[in-house]
Amino acid sequence: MIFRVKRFDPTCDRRPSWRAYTVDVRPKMSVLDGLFWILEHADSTLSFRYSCRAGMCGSCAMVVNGREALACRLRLAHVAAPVHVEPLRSLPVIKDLVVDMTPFFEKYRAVDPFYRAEDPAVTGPAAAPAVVRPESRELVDLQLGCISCGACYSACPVVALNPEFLGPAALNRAYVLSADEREPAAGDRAAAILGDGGVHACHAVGNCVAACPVGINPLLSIQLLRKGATDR
Amino acid sequence: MVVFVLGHLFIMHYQHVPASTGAAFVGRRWAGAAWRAFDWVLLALALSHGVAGAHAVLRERVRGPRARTVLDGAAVAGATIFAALGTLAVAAGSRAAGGSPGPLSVHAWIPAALLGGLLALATLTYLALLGVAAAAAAYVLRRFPAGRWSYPGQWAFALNRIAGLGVLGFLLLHVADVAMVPFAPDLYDRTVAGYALPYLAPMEILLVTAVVYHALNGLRLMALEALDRRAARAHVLSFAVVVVVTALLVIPSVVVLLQGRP
Ligand code: HEM
Repeated sequence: MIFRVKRFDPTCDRRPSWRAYTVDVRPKMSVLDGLFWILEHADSTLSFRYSCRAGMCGSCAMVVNGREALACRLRLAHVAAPVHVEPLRSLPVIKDLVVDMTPFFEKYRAVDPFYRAEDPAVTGPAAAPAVVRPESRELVDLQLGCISCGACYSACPVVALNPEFLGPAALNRAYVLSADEREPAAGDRAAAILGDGGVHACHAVGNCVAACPVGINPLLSIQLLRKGATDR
Repeated sequence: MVVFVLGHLFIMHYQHVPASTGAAFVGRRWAGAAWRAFDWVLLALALSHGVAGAHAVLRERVRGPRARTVLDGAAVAGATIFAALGTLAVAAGSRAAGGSPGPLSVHAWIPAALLGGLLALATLTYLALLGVAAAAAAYVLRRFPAGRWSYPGQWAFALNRIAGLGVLGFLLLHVADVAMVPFAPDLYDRTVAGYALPYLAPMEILLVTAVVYHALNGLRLMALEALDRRAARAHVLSFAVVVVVTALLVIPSVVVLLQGRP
């Protein structure tokens, strides 16, 4: 099976270029396995990032045949040849398929992504245990499983066009916390949600929903925030 | 706004052909206060929404505080000028008698400039369409991936934006030409006759398509947002419906256009 991998080393290349490899494919191989095959048999200078190899850590998010995917979860049986593998978009390339996630996490941080409810400095000394209605968790629990892989950020054209836009992952996190009944209403978070780069910059394109490898719907979170999920 | 925009579109592109809507036609229509009110409300809605939209699009790219102040100022100034021009035309409108010269009729350069601008815009549009087609063909032939274009939502968004900006461009031109109705009816007739050039026919079809698509897609986005959880996975399907309905609505206008041409 032919792999075309976008190679780029900013220290010596002027621009990225596609390089082709013929990979010896065996049953049940994933895209990540294919990259390992290239590393071992064809080109030991190929760089890519991975960790858990089980779709849980989000390290191996990349663009395969134009769409974001976790390389470890995507079986080669499900992709058309030639397999085009590129780094995530809208993030600076460190080398080949490895991107610098700093801008992604800076924007993530901007929504104050931390669970504050158990911080006495924020809530004061705990009085009684919090009462959480199960129905308030229905959607929050569905949207809670983000692995911060950056696939939605990469797929979003608004992120690419508007450098201020915080992006789907950060705003999804903001929704999960805002809709959590135990969370104190946090001023910084609300300001980020409603600011220039917040939910009103979204154009409801929906690429984030299609790109998410763990089935989260960040657009829904954004729409619920727009409708005042932060008002409490 | 949907009612006004689509109502206007239906009358001008389905009941009539634009090239037949000379100053006499506009004058007759503007004899009644109701149509003048209709046209003025349409102008106010489309101009404010269109300029606000274009302003937001540019604001995504224009970043410095000073540049943003200039952009804000330009948006307000542009909207004010065209609103004033359109209001003046609608207010003065009923005095117009078709075909006769008016106080501004000596300025024959106005229709020439408008038509020249339109021809240049048409040429640019056709070249851009050819360029896009060539790039797409090259991508397909070399079997490159389609990038973000492999997501349907990308198409919905890009088409919506291009259509919105294109319709705004036409609206500004159109305010300028209709403003000639009270002040130089003969020049207005000459401009409108120019719209009948076969070279501009594809632009007319593109314009109808853009308005219909943008309106339907705008309604789609609003409905999806209103339904939130209940339509959480309906984005792609609803986009397909919008594309099909747009095509079905545009076909009759193409028939009218082709039959109505001299
Ligand atoms: C007929 C009824 C119309 C409806 C329902 C409608 C709806 C919408 C909606 C929902 C948006 C936001 C889209 C987004 O966030 O991506 C939008 C944007 C826009 N509209 Fe309209 N619109 C209509 C007519 C018009 C007209 C007549 C013009 C031109 C004068 C226009 C120009 C624009 C522009 C320039 C944008 C910004 C595009 C962008 O942000 O990508 N619209 N419209």
